[in-house]
Amino acid sequence: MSIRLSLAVTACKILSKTAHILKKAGTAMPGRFALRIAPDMLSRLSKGMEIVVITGTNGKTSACRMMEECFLAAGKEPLTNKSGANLLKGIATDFGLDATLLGRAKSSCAVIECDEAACKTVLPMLKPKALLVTNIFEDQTDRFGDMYKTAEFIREGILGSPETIVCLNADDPVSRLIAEGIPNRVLNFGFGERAASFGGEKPAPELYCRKCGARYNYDYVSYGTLGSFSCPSCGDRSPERVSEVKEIFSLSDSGSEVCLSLGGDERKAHINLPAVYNIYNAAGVACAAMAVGIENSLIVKALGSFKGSFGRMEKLPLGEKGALMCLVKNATGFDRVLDYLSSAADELPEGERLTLCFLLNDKPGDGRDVSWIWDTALEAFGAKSDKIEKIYFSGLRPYDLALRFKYAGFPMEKTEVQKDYDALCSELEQCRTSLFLIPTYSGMMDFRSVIASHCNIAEYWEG
Amino acid sequence: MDKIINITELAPGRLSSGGDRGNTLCLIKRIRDRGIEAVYKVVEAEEDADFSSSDIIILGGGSEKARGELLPLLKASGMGEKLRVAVMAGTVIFAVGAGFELLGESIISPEGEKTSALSVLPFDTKEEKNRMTGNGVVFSEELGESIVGFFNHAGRSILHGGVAPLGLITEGSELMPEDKREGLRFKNAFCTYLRGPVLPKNPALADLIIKTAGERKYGAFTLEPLKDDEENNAHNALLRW
Repeated sequence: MSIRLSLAVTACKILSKTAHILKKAGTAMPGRFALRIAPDMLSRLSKGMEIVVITGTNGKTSACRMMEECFLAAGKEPLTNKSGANLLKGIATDFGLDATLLGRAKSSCAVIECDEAACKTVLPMLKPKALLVTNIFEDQTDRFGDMYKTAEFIREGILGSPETIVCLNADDPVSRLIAEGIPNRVLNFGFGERAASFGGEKPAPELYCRKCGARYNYDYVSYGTLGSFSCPSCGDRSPERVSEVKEIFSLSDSGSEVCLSLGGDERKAHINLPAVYNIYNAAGVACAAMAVGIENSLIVKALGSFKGSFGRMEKLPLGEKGALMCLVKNATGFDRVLDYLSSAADELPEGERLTLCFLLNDKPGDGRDVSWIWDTALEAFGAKSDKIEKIYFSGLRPYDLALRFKYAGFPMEKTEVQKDYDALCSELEQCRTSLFLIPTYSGMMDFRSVIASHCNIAEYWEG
Repeated sequence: MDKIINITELAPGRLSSGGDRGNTLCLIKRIRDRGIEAVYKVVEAEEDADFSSSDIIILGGGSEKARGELLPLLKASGMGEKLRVAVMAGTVIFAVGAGFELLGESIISPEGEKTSALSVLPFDTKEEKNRMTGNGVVFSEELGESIVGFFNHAGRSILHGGVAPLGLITEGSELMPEDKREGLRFKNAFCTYLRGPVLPKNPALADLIIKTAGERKYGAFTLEPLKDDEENNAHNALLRW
């Protein structure tokens, strides 16, 4: 037992309680103090624990919920950082709160969401059994620089944890850079050709090999820059997939039906959260779950029953038909939500329409540069404008959105800027059509609180 | 005779990033909305390019990495000389960020290492360790109004004697240059570090670029006013920020 560690854990618990009583969302603050008392707190508390760390640009939070369910299916209750504080200090808070006052972890396993840049410091401290990197796309360039720097942050973290099994997206050329020069065992996940062809053939992205500069060839594309790629010059290519989505049978608003191959063992699976990108997340989680030795049958069971996190394809009781909240953080995520909205528009009964509400913020958690909205495939979605009843723009940068939609050919008379969340919520309560809310991160948190007070739903995660 | 404006974009696969597509869409839209034809084509870095029929040449903001990859390819294909001839002939150039930096005499790293660039325009770029990021407002005397956008760059432009900036920074981060000079304005070249993308929400700048190209080609060239409500709202929101 170490007095420093005990002290750190105690401080963490007291500060967290205090923040709770004062109703301050202080998820990082207790960890910050605890780390000051015992800088080695995380490595000591996590020792001997079976930990899966999940990072990547898109899908971290949903993948964490899936991974948590995998552990639960295997009869273990993992420690999680559900509050969403995914930097070093926030993670320290969660470990501090889990520990006994003597400085011993209560949980035997953990599922930890970690910010990409924070991987550099967090991975060497936690030394997880498995690391899942969902994907790496252009995101928050004011903070990360370009996406290749993001890959480098993660790779540097892995170098401090050589025993970790690294689970990478086989279809993402940028994620492949992480595997360069690391001693770790690497497992890969991704889409097979039949799964990728769901929804028709996609255009080949223009992406250049980081090793030799030649343009990648794609045998097939699943979406965006993801697919089976190869470099004609240096031979770099998508590796074999241990966890592979063989086929997508159907997508619906209650989830997806797929065929998943887990180490060659092909199984039909239900993914309990809509949209194609969650099938990728599921394949990644299956890969990480295999890495920690969870049985295939339990993995499939967990993917079919886990519950999503708030804001991520979350159903909310707003308006006559309810609303679906789809968090977006960058152009790639936005395009996936547009894919989802397109199919929702196509499946509408004759005469029915959609109402959409976009919230664009430029706080640090959203990325302060909103330029990315111009990298979205909004023009293609413009063809669906006759299926749209009305579009609301809100958040701190609604006018940038309105201008972007004008360029994409949407009729401006169907749009309205409403910056006041309270007024917006009251208006949406009167909505009679299917309703979709598409916010960036801080907009999601803020607007969800307003909806919570209007509609009586849980505002924060319990526990 | 129907009027045509030819737009040529250099290596958008590597240089067009972070919303740069919006600038290209903006120029095309604002030309076509006036009933003028806009013809868009791409020139790759390795290509034996011919800019003789180009009215506007676009270089996107890219990244430092893209800039490093492109520079040897552009030098090998003799792009610097071709662009220099185009500038001297009065072709309009619109360059952002890394695309702007490529056009200078040299790029000096934070450690003082100097790399020669394409020597198209009379300036050098000195890179700082800290990136200047955040919303920005630049006042242009030529336009008589401000240009709004987002800064995210490490380079500082050292303009050679007598060369004018695009404007003076009135709102920006504490890392802005002391002389507050932003971008470059030389012959018919318009260069800036402002992202955002900058043209859609600065219709006056977009129209100046189009008008400059049109007047060079056709002499008298008037642009009908457009209904710019959304453009002006997006512009004004950043002015008041």
